Amino acid sequence: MKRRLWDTVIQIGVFFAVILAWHLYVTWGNVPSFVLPGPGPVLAKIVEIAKNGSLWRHAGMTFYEIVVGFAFGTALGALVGYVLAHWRTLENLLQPYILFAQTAPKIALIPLFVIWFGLGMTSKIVLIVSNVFFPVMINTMLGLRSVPAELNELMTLLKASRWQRLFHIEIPSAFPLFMAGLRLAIIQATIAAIVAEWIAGDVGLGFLLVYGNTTYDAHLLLAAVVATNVVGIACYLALLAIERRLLRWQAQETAAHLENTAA
Amino acid sequence: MGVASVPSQGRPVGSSRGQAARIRILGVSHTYAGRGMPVKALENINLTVEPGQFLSIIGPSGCGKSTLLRIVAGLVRSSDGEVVFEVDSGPVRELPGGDIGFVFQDSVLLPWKTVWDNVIFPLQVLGRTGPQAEATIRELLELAGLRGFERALPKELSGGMRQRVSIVRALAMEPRVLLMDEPFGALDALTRDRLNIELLRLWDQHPMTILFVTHSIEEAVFLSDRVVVMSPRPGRIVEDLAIELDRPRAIEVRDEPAFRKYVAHLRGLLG
Repeated sequence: MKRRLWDTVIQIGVFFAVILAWHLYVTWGNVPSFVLPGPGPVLAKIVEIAKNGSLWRHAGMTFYEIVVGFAFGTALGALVGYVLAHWRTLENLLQPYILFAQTAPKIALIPLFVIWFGLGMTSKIVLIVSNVFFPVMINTMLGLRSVPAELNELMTLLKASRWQRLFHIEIPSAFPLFMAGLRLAIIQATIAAIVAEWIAGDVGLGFLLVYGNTTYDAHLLLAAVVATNVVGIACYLALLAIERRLLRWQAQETAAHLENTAA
Repeated sequence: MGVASVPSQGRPVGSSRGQAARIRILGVSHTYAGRGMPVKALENINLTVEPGQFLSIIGPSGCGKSTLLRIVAGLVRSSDGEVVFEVDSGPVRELPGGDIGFVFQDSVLLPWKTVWDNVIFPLQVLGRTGPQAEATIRELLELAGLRGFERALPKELSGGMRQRVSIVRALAMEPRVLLMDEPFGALDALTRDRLNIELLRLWDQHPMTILFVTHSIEEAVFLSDRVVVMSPRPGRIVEDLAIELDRPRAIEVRDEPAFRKYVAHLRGLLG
C-alpha cells in the first residue's frame, strides 16, 4: 500500500516536471507562440472553449461517434465471429478476404466512404465500424475456439441447445479474449473518429484540430490535442471498468491454493 | 460372480431415477480417415455390459479404447456396427440427455464456477434442479470428501480433488451409464488408490453400468467385475475375464493370491 502511494506521488511529480520543462523551454528559448505556446496559454484556451461551450459540442460529437461506431462494430464483429467459429467451411472460404480486409489500412478508404456516404455522420460511423469490426471478430472467433473439446462433448452428452452452449460455456470461455479484442477496438475507434473528422463534417475534435491548424491557431490545436487524449483515455478506462466488473472470477486468481492432504 | 451376472451383495440395480442400462456393442468397427492412409482403429467389437456391471477395458496405447468409449457415448459415429442400450422401456439407440455420464482424464471443470456450481450445472442444463437434486449433490460431495469445499474454485483444489468434483458432477445426474476414460491416469499412485476406493463406494450407493478405460492392470482388476483386454491397432477383444473377488474390496485385496493371479494373467496377455 505504501509502495503504491509512493508510485502515485512519483507519477504526479513526473507530470508536473514535464509541464515545467515545457514552460521553461518556451520562455527561455523564446519559442514563438504560433509554433509552440506554453502550457499556461494552452490551459487558458481550454478554459475559454470550455466556457463558450464549443469544447463540449466538439468533444460530445466525437464521443458520440466513438460510442455508436464501437457499439455497431462490436455487435457486427461478435456476430460474424460467432458464425465463422461454428462454420469452418465458410471461414476457410473467406480466409484470404478477411486477411486482406484486416491488413488493408482502412483509413485510406475514407475518401471512398465520403463519395459513397457523403460528408455527414454515415461516413464517419462506417469508418469507425470497419476499424472496430476486425479485432472484435478475430478475437471472438479465437475465444470461441478456445473452448476445450471435452466441454463441448459434455454439452453434447447433455443434449444442450445452441443457446445453452452459448450461455453456459461459450460466452464465459471466450470472454477474456473477447475483452482483449474490445480493448484494441476502442483505441482503433478513437483514431478512426478523429481521422474521419479531419475529412468529413464540421464538428468534432478532429475538425477542431484541422481548424486550429488551418487558422494557425496553435493554442486551439494543442487544446484540441489534449481534449482528444482525454476522450480516448476516458473511453478506454470506461471499457476497463466494465471488464473488471465482469471479470470478477479472474481477479480471484491470486487466491491461495488450498493445502490438503486429502488428494 | 459370473461374467454376465448382476453384481453381488444384493445391490439394487437402479438409481432413484431409473434403472442402470445394459450396453450392447454389436460388431463395431471404426476407421479414421486420417491424412494419407486411413487408420483402422477398431475391428468388429462385440461386447455386452450387464446393467450395474463394472467393466474395465485395458490395452496398449492407441488400441482404440478411448474411441470405443466415445462411440458408446455417441460422440463418435462408428464406421460400422451399432451400440444399443437396453433399459426398462426396451432397447434404444440413443439415451436421453443426462443418462450417460462421462469422466475425462482431465477434470474439465468450468474455471469460473465454484465446486457447487460446477456440479449442479449439468442439472441446470437438463432442467432438473430442485431440493431433491440438491440433497443428492450434498450427499455425493460428502461421500467424495468434498464437504466444505462447495464454494471453492477449481484452481484452489488439488488435481485429485478436481477429479473427484468431475466424478460427482457425472454422478449428480444419476446416469444409467458412466463412461470413464483413464480418469485417474494423471494422478499419483496414492491419490489413485484413494479415489479407486471412493469410486467403488459411490458406485455402491448409486448403481450404474460403468465402462472404465485404464492403462493400469491392477486398477482394472481391483475395480471391475470384468476386464476386457484389447489388442494393438486395430483394436480387437483378445480376452474377457471375470474378476471373482469378494466385494466390498479393500486395498489389501491386492495382496491376495487370487488378485495376483488375475494380474499376472492379464500382464502375460499384454506382453
